[in-house]
Amino acid sequence: MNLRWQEFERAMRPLIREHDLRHRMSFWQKLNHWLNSSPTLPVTHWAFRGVISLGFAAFVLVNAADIRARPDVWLAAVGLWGLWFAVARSQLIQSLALTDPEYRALWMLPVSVEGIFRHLLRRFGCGGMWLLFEFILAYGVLATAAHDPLIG
Amino acid sequence: MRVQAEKLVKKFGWATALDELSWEVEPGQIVAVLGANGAGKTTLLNALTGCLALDSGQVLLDGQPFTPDRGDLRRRFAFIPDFPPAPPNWTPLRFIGTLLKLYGVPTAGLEKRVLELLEKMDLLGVAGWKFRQLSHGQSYKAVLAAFLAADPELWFVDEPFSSGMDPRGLNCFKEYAREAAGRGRTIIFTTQIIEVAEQFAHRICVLDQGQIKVYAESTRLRETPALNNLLSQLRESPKP
Repeated sequence: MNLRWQEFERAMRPLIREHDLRHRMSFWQKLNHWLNSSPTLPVTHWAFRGVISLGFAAFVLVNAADIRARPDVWLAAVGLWGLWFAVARSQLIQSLALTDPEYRALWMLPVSVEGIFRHLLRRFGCGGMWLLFEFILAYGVLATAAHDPLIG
Repeated sequence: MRVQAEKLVKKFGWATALDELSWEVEPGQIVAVLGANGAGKTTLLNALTGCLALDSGQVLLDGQPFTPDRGDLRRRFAFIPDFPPAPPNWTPLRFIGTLLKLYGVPTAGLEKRVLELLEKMDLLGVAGWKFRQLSHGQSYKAVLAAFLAADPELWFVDEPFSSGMDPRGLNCFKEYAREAAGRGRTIIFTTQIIEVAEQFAHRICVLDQGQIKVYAESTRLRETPALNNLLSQLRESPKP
């Protein structure tokens, strides 16, 4: 179940738009306000994660020839990479409960324990897209080696 | 909605926060839970709302045992902690929509009602902003507005008069509470401000060391020795 009521938000948005205080702000005031609002926006996190992914992609592409030459070693390396991320993310789930304001907000609302779990799982699933991208890339390069039989 | 607490016990290590506390609140009442810091006010609200696992005892809502998995009962009450955890990347509009959806509020005339509430609480201008761009008082008002729109049968509100809300927000809460109590809604709130409790609540419950010392009509509270003890505790100035 999607917790968000988008139809309601869509219907309300035009009604509140004309009252929005941002309309009375100059561009610089808006920018200043945006910069001064608490830095909980996960821009830094996503930017950092994006840089890691790009670095990983570059690393895989530069070493593509070597990966094809020694697919068994690289397969093990990719497996370890995945395992490390899985462990890191599972630790994140544990600590998330105490720190994540969305999780705490859901406890305040009439949402079942299963509903909270499903909601958080979906968020984690979206976060896992980075790893999926990296796996597809790494295994894609490895798959090209499948033209050459590894055994026999 | 009738609230009954039966011999609630909650211990944090050696400290007993709720000590075999039994209590009953009739529908249509505004009840203030009064006590010094550490008296067990917040623990009591957390226990009544299922946010805290009890060591023993049970909570009955309308005579039915309440546990967090009772979604049908959970949708009939609101709980606003002293620091409502509003997700920083949500807008008040999204929060209100989500809350109304979860409470299954009828859609007829809803938009008009929400708009009026936002205007009354001086939130129209910031309803589309993210919570992280709002002050604590504004965030509290936005959370309160969402619950006011949902209009549940029973309210548990932790320290609304120390929440950082401006007079518009506080008046809105007071007006709603009085009108809602007239319709049979029950409002239970905690506070340390004796004058507010006396003027606003129908009944006052004085809590001390996890036990209810007195539960009486607010007009008769001054006659009780328990309140005088509490008054001296709260008014005692620190020694130099």
